[in-house]
Amino acid sequence: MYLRHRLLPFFILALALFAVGCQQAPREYKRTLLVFGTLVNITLRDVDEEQAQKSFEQIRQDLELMHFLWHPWKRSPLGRTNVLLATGGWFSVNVSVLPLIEKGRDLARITDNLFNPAIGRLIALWGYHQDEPPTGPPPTKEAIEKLLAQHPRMSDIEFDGLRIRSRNPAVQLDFGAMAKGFAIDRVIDYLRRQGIHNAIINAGGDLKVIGNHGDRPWRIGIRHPRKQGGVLAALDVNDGESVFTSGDYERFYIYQGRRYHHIIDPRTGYPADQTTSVTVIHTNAATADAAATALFVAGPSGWQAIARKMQLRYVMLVDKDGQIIMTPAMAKRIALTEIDHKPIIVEP
Amino acid sequence: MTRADIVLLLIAVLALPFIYLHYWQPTSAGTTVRIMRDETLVRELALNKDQEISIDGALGVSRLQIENGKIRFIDSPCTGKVCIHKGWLSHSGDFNACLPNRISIEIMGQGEFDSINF
Repeated sequence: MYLRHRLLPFFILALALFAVGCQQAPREYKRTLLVFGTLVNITLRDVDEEQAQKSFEQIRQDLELMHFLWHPWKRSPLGRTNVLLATGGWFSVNVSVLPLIEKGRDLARITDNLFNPAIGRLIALWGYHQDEPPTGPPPTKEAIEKLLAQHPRMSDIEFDGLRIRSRNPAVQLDFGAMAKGFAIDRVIDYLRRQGIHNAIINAGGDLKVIGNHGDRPWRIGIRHPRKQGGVLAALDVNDGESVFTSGDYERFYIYQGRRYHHIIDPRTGYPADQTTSVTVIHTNAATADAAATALFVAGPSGWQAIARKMQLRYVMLVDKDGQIIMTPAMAKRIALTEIDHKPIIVEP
Repeated sequence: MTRADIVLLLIAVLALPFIYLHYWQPTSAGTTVRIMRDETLVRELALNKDQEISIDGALGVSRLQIENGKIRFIDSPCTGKVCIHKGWLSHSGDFNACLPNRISIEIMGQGEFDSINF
């Protein structure tokens, strides 16, 4: 008995020291890259430093290459494709561009062309074919209507193996609403092949994860579309999921007191004006990317039809008045941090 | 037990909550900001000390303001001013950049979020 009493304090002290000892630095490595025309944040867990640094460098090279290949208006393989599409003749398309065109064609079809990567000329007309956002003025009504009348669509492109042509010379490809997702999918595939089990990559606000953050899932905040620095909702992201948000607050300019953002409705030729933001969760980042844009354009009255066709389970839309609308599956797993109006929960 | 045992026991027991709070308790907001130029760390600053900082970038000087645990760009030599429009950052995992000036900021710390979607 006596001995046990003497040892008790030491035992407790040992426990306390053990608690300190457990506080090992987690093997977590973070890197910020200025690539793909944006800021890319990568966090890798449970890797050694050598592997982390090798992966970061590889990801940089991959993203730099993809940014070059799929650049719509510079001298790039996609730029060349656009020059040749305008001729109307058959040509051999660069194999690095073909998968993007095929995926873009499928997503345009399933979104009833609300995601329409063939409207490159319209995007350029609005001034978004430059690195810095435009300052206005917005294009004239006549110029917009002239482009709309030519009805550029992905279905205008004919395929024959590696050769393609456009029946419509107005087709100019711009994958601004899909390329980032397509690239993130490639990066996550690469990390999995490297045997990395826990990672998150965030490219300019859109993200995809592998595994989890140790003993809990990866936890993200979704930025409030109107309150600077505010967070609208918290969300746990599961292995293999990507979360994409399209918002009117990301790229825009104000001209004579009016705000013109970068999500152009291919039906009207003007920025879609019924929505503030759309968030989509999907295992395929390219699909999530295009879906967020298509549902933004579809707006509060049209999003359900597109979401049904795309078989989307997780959608949250904020309309122009700040009303939140979401699917029951999304409502179940999202935690709203600021509720101004009660959210509307509806099946797609 | 001798008096020394009791003192030792008290120290150990009293140390436990401190150790727990110090090492295990997550904080609710990001605690520091990392300021980077061309992906290289230039400064890491606490967000609890209000100040303005000037950072030399590729085009010129970007000015940042820290106030009440938040940070924002208040000036930058870019034309689009995307960095300034974005406003305040305070949550861990949130980030912002002046891409033309090659300056980026990221909120660090064991906060509520691993990353911010926008």
